[in-house]
Amino acid sequence: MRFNRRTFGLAVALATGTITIPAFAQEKTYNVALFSDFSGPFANIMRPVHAGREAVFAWWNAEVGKDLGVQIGTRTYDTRYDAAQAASLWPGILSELNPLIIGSTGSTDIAALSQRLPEDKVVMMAVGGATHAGWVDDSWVFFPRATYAHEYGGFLNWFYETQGRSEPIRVGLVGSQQALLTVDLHDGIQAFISENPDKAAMVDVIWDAPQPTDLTAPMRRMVNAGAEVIFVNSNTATVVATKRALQALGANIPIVTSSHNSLPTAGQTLGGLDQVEGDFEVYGMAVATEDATGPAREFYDLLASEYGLEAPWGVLTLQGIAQAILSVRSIEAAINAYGPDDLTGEKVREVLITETAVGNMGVIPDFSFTADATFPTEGATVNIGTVRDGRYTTAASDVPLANVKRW
Amino acid sequence: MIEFVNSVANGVLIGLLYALVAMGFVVIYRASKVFNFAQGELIVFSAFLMWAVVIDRQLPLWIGLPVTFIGAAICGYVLDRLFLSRLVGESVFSMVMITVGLLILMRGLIIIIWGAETRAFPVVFPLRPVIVGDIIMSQALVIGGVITIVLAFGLSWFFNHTRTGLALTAVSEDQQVALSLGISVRKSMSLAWIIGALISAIAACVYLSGRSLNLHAADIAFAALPVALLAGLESITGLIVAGALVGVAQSLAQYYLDPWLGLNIASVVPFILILLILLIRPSGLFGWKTIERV
Repeated sequence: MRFNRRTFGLAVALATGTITIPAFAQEKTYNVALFSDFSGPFANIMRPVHAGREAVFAWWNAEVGKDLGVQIGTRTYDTRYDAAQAASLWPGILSELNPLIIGSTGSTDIAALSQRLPEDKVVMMAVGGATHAGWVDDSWVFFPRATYAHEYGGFLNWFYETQGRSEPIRVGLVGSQQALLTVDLHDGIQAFISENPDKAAMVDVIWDAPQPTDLTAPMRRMVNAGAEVIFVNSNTATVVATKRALQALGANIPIVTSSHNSLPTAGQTLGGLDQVEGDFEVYGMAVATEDATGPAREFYDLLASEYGLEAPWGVLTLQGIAQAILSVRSIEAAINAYGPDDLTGEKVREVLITETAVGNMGVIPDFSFTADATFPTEGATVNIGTVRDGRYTTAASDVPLANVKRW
Repeated sequence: MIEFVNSVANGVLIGLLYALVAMGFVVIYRASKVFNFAQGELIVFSAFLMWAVVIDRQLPLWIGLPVTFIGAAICGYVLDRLFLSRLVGESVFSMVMITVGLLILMRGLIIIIWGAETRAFPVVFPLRPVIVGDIIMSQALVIGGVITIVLAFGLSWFFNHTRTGLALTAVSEDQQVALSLGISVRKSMSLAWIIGALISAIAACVYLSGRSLNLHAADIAFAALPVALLAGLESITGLIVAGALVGVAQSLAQYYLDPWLGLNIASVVPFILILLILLIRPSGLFGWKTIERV
């Protein structure tokens, strides 16, 4: 037998273990359907979110799944943050992919599919904060974060204490009734306020289109009503319109955003971080400041250097990572509990309910779901970001979530 | 009382912006009887062009503005030549369906070329508000309102007093008759699309100056739709009155009804208004009444 130089090199490499023949043929593959919004209202934030989650699946397959004999396959579908689109695509996805988990884009996917998921036996992993959809019995929709009301309520508690208040904080809210998460925040915050009338009062609400034309007139009403903080939970366009209206009125009222409409994104659109000086963002996830250190940053650096993550270090990338890390860890827990063969969505859901979600790489805290809520309420906390002296920084870490009764 | 006056003033200005957007519908309709469903996408296309030149390429506004207007005009001309002028003599329904296809095509192209991310639109008009006593108004909307009024009267004069304008009207009346009179239907339609696209570029500057830009900016075309229908689809100066009516109704509803009802009733008010008026005047407030001799 004659060896050429390349064949000889390959034989040596195999013998010394420098390279290994992939064992994919012997590995079990389970699928995850990644719903995305590349052309809908949140298309502007989708790229980093999606890049973050894809990198996590690549990392898990290489560093965890390989040892467990399991690979996770992913396929992406553009559901456009549109309930009708999600509902119409789903039967085809189910028969074609038979996924264990759906990585959802948010409220519209939940509205479209939550009723049928128990029959289809597929877990839906939401991205971002929870809505009251996680508060229904036997839900198959799981959230990596508590409801926006829990998070914003946590902010109100923190603001109340740090400001040494004795009077209720006068809260305004700007949003679109076309964005279900804003409506949910409104209802949840009203529930928080009814439980804590000494801490906060809702003085005005502005509902407008997702891309408001001009908010100067209604914002004047809110300013006159004495709003001290303004919650803006819909998209970046609404944050920009709110800031422009406040600037036109010469009113210096801090706004509070979340992760999907964060301060860096809004600041960039407004012309610089100085435009959002003194404003806040609040969410139960690591804050991606420039000088951040710790496990979340280390994990991001690993994904960027080893697993092709090209999205920048930022809150949107972390949002995708958070969704994916909870997904892979739940599959991992199911494998540990039931073995790698014959995994089902039902088994994944079982471990999500019964076991503590750990190993979240500091992106989201370790927490437990409770029997009546498929979002974290026990163990979870929120972080608060702000812009101070033109720098994006952390205002507070590990602030307890607010207690909010079911609404 | 001052809050009422403030809401009315801001409502008039927003209504004039709607009228400016609706003017693009009307100009194309008057020359071809085609209702262009892709009008919003023309606005977004112009806006992205502006962003590409001024923000992405860092070129000054005095270069960005003419480049945007020239680009918009070329876009209007190309769309007409590629899709609409081939349908001369075909049914209006076919042409309208083509504009629905254009809407989808342009959205796709914009995403492919520029992506779906939210961008910062250049500050074309100063951000400092106009303050008259206790009334505070956006300077972009004030300047935009003036532009709308001047443009409306200018275009109205063009359509009613110039040979080219009258030729456009003749084309919209009956393309076969216009052809037999020696009018070039294709040239007339191209001109209408160029004007429609230029108006879209102006509307983009007024609407988005200093704000954020993404695909959803196209939604303003749907907000402007009631204004075009209320004015009657043929009347350009009528858009001023219709725009003011819709804008004021919406603004007052947002200021007084929304908080009372806890709903965004303001977004529905223009459509309720138009239904009421069309019940009484099916051709709109200033639309042409067609009398057929039997």
